[in-house]
Amino acid sequence: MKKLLFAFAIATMGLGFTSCDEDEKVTPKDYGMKTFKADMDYTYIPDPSGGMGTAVYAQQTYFKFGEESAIATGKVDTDSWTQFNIYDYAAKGEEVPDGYVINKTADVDGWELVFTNYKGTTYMGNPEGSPYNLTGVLFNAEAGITVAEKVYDESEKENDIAAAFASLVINDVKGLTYSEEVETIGSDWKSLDWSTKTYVVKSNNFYVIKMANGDYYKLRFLSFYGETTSERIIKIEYALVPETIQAEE
Amino acid sequence: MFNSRHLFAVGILLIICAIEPFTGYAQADVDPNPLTQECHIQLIDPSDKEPLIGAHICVELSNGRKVYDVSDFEGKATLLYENEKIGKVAISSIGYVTTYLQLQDIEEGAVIPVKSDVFSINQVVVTGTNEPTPVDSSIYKVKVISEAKIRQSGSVNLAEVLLTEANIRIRSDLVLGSQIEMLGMSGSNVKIMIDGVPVIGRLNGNVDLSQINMANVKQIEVIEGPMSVVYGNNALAGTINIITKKNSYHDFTAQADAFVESVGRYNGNAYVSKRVGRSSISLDGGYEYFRGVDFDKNTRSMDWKPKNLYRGNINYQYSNNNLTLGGKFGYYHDQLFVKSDKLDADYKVSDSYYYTDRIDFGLNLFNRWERSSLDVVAGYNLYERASDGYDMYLTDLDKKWREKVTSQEASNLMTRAIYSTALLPSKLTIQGGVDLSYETFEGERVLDQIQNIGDYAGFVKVNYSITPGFEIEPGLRFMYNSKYDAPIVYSLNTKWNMTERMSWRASFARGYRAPELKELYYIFDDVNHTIFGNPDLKAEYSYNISSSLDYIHQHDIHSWMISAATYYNTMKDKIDLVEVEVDGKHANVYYNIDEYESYGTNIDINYSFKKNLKIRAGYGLTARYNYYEEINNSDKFNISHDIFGGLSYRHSRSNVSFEIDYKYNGSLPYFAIDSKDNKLKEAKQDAFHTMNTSTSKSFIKNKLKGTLGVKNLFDITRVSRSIGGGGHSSGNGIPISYGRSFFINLIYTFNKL
Repeated sequence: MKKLLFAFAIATMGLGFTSCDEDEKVTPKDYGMKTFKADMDYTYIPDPSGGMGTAVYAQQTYFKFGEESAIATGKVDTDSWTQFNIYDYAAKGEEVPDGYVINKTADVDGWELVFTNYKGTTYMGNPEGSPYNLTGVLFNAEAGITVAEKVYDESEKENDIAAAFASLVINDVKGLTYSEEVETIGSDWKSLDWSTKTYVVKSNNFYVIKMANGDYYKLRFLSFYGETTSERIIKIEYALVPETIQAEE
Repeated sequence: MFNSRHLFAVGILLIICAIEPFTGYAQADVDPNPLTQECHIQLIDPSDKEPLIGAHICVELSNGRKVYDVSDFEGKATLLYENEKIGKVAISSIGYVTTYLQLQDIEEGAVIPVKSDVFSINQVVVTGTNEPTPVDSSIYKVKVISEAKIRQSGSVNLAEVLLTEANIRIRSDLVLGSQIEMLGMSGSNVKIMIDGVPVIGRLNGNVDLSQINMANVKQIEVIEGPMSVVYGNNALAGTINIITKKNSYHDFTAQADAFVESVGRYNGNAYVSKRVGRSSISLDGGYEYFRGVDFDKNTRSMDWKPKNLYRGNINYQYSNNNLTLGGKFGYYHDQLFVKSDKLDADYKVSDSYYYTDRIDFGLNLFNRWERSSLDVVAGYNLYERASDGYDMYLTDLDKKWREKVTSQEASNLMTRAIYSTALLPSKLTIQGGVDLSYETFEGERVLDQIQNIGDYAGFVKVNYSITPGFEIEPGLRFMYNSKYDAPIVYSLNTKWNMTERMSWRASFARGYRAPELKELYYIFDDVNHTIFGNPDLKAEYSYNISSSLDYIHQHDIHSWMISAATYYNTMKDKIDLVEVEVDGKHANVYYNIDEYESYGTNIDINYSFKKNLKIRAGYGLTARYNYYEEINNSDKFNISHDIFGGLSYRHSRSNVSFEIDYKYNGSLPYFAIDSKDNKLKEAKQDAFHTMNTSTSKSFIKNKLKGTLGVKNLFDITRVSRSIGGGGHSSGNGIPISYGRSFFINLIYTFNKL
């Protein structure tokens, strides 16, 4: 009997140890560098005469900072697709095409960024901007997000760029100008090399995303292709901007 | 017996012997009964009484036997014969009019004057004529670029040959190749042919001229202005016909040449031909490797892409007195390597290869009767452009190959037959012909993936000499096309020999360019772009008026040739993409909407001193229509000025030739939108100079010829384009050349008669 009681006492002690106070629970902020990939489900249709072919980006990916995987995706020509129409014909005094409605948001809970093809503004050959189908990243302005851009041009070496990005701290980003324009990140983090018809990613364009709660995330683009150039997968690197950079462990 | 002293003169003689109807049989390999009788002659140039060195003398005896000799340093030569002194003698030399004499008229020890032909106006051309015709007799203004000129300039392909020519501009697209502009009109309006068979495989309307190798070329014939009556599609601005070498003369001939250019360009060619009786069979092949040129070593991509090319041809020819019959098969392959820059932070790169393959079958027939002739050309050509490549990370260099994709496949089956008859000899000649072609085009985004187009035309030309010096030639072409309404094309050419020294040509012609299959049937529709071909398209057509005056004067040791020409082109129904609305969506559709005009004038002065020194100088003005005329009230035309010149000197005793060619490509004004303030502004592409020079010498009785030269002496690699009155330049400008280079070319020729 004594043995039984002892065993019971041990068991209850075990219970007591394992239970804890929910109010005490702390989720430490993760300042570590993370990557995220969004597959654009791309196909390319070549021009039979040898000129520039045509691209189809059939998937859009909704992203929330800190989430390892996409929170939602949309497929072109299905109900899951949201057409983002950013270009404002009326504001430019241009005729609005039939059926064109400006749309900068999607019916997806909690989304912060979307990787998508959208009707946006290109400044190529026209400083006023012209409408064009672009591929890139838009943010959810309704969630109180604003974005600033910071170009690092002290070195072209990839290692220097990576180190500079990793060492961005709060003091580096506080004074930047933050915009509510959802195309601030947009599509110009890459440029087309016309002679080879390949896109070159500007990994030295750093973007700082200011969240509604005052946190800052830093983000840059690592690549626009998958294992081969026939895949278009946008790969980003991001991290919460820390106060200071901790010493190497 | 045969002393091959002047290789090029052999070439000239080759033409003469091919044209001159011989009545006998070919000479046997072994001479069983050598000729015993001799007749000694001396050749002189009447203008300066100097001996004519290295001229070729071809004697055809009454029994059909042919013998040859070459004049020595004193202009002396020996004519061999036997029994009867009866036969025909042809004397030819570069820069001289070929002289025909009867052997029986030549006395022992005769001194024979040979008239000079300094500017090669007696050179025989075939483009646009019913029979081979000397340049100055042709009703068209034909420019001939000889093999000697091509070799001397160190040109490997057609684009390089045309670089210093008047009224022509060559543009280099680093991936699509070399494109031509002629008389202020783009490459889609220029017909390119090899022995009368059109070259297919146009990329955005242009034939890549760097794919046309010059190794086996006898001459290039360039005709400015429309020739659509005979040649149909694309022959609006001009026609370039490349005439390849054919052997109907040597029992055995072989040639090998090696070319090295300091930019890492190597070219080797070989040619052999064997004649058996009246038939000859020729084989030729070549290889070209270009290492590529990179100006900015910090980037991985190269400015001028590495290229590998090989080609081969086999050619059979049969000829007798009146009939020439032949067939050929050719293969061409090239590979362009395009290295990309580092694409992203993961050190990814994506390199590509572009491949072009061409297969050509050709048949030719030419038959002459007393007053008429029949000329038939047939061809079946295949063209394919494909690409593959690999993606890799520079961190592991592991190549992931992409599948090979064929972007364009095209074929053309064509035949052109021209029957010509002199109703009244040297007064009235009628030429009638048919021109049939059937083209197919395969590509992923073409409606049904494959489309074909049949073009069946008949044409007639009448040449009438109102007076012996004034001839007029109207022409008319009717067409039926299976896909679009083909226009009726007509032309009127005149030539008036005003005096012995002066001649005047004038022409009015209508030319056309058929809509490409892509413009008719291209289809693409997705969320981004919607582009449709338009099956209702008509052909683009143009009117051309041109006139030219030629003056030739030879006095003692001085010779002059002055040519002045002027032209005006107007083009209607030009095809362009138009943005339209289809089912509420924006789409781009091809329509016949635009118009275009160009005009120009040029003057060309040639002077020669003693046949050895030649100097040429010229000026050309080209006016291109300005599309923004109505938008900003600017001038209707953008005008550019070109200057060209050259000097060549040949020392016949030492067999050394020197040549220098120069062209000032004047600035090109145009209008463009300034990206700074979104305003339409005047822009300008800068002028640039092209200068090439070379020296050549022949050794071992002309069997070996070496040429040393410098191309692009001013080291022009790019010209800048500036906008807004010299404000800021946009980018690095446009590419012109890979820079100054040195070349050496060795040709070894072996001939056996």
